[in-house]
Amino acid sequence: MQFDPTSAQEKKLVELLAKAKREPKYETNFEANFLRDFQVKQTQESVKQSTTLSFTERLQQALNGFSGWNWIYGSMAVITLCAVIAIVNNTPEEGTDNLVNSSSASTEQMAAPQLVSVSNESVQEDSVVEETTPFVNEKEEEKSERSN
Amino acid sequence: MSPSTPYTTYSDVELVTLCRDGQSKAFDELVIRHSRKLHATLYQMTDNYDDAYDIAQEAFTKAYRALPHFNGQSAFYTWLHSIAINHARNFLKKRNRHVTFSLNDDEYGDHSEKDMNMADETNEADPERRSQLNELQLKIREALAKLSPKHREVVVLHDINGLSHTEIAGTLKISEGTLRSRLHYAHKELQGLLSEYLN
Repeated sequence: MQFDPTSAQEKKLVELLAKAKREPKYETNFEANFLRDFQVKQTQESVKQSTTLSFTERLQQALNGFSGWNWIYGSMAVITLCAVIAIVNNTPEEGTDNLVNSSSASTEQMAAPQLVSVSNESVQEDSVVEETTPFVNEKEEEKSERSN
Repeated sequence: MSPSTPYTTYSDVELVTLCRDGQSKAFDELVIRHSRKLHATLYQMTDNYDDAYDIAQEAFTKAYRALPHFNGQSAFYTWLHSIAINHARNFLKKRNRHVTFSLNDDEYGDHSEKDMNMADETNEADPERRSQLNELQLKIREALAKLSPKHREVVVLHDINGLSHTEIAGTLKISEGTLRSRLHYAHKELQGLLSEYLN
């Protein structure tokens, strides 16, 4: 099944195929231009690579050493971390509650005096009128009694 | 390896070692040394000067990036060549046409002018001979286009580019036995297709 180069027809075929080779016309400074383009490309690549790739490479390097129990410990650590984050997020924070309460209280306080002051004034005025009037009446009664 | 010695005096293996040790300028010498040869090989595959140039650039970039992973089991050029061939394969798949052996020079534009420089340059003054050679080249490329990609690949690398069995086997990551088998069947098929020129 091996190719026999001694066969005349196959020899001729190989010669024919060699003629199919086409060489492009190279400039004299092809290598220099090629190197210059390569260096430009390298610079562009390094700028592109800076953040994303370096992160993934670091991650890959870190994960390369992982095997067997390391994966189990690692996954358990991740699950624990997620659980802690979930618990922390769901727990109502005292500080914020106080802030909410204090702020609501302050708004109530801000609203309340206006209502209270109006009602107090009216109540006080009424009460003054009601209270003073009998007192005045009593004095007048006393005076009239004396005069009498 | 003293630092004052010019890079041109070093072997590929030494340059790779220097590059790994942080002397990135050593890689420039590898680029200068192999760019033309690599481009010529890729040109046979793509049949387009600019495409071959871009693929060669990409291959060197990939090689530079992967240099820490180069184990030195094969020669640097064989390794670089295999990177370039894989990239060219993907490129040709994307192009989704049999550009490698395109028969229509106008199809891909500007390369026809560059392709005027044939392998046999002695016939430049003889238009008739040149015309015959062009016709023959056309027929050969037509026949090659009818081969399966695997068969065509080995014929291009072995019979047209003149690479050795070991180099091709290393590049394509196949055994030399598989390579010989593929070459055998490819030659059989080509003999049938080019019988009028062989008899």
